[in-house]
Amino acid sequence: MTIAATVRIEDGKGTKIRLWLPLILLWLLLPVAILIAPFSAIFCLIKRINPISAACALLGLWNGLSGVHVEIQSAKANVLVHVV
Amino acid sequence: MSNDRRQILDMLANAKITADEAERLLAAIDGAPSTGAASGGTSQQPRYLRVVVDSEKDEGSPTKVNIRVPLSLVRAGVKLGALMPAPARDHVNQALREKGIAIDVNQIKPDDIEAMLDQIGELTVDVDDKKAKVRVFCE
Repeated sequence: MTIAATVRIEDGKGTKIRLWLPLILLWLLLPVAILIAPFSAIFCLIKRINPISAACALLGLWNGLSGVHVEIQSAKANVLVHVV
Repeated sequence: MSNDRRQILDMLANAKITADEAERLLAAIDGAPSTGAASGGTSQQPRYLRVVVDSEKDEGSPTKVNIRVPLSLVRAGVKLGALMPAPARDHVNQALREKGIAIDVNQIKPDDIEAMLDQIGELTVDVDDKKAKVRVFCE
């Protein structure tokens, strides 16, 4: 399960941005997701997409984010994105 | 002697199975615990796709890229891609053709990609250039 993301950006001028994003709090939006679920299902059916498959795929995508690590170091900037 | 082994030998003695079948069953029994113990469950399965780039394009200031993508994310992406409606696939095909890439997205089956992902653990790409080193592998 995706819990949090760490984002660290440092540019060449010495500016540092550090963010710790608690992605688990997005589960608080679950009631909203449930509310819009029927509309999403209708939209999927109009577009001839299986809504259950789409929901499963999106959930898999969300769960799969855990472990993503992107680190770029260059002279101009350093960027780190880490999802746990 | 384990119960399984004794059962197999009993079946062979009672002519319920042939010698070849007994040999295969015994090999399966011998193989299952050893591979499980050696691998420690599913730990042998690769979990991440790694891309490491070490570029020395700029003098004295090398650029390093280190990307780790979980294979589960790749699998989820494949499943999501399979849900793409036909008109969207046509748009993708057209965009690919404009870029000079002759790939028909309609021909890519999710099962094929899934089979490819199962075998991706063996994949290692090493590119050694004067200006950059690129490594793509699974871990």
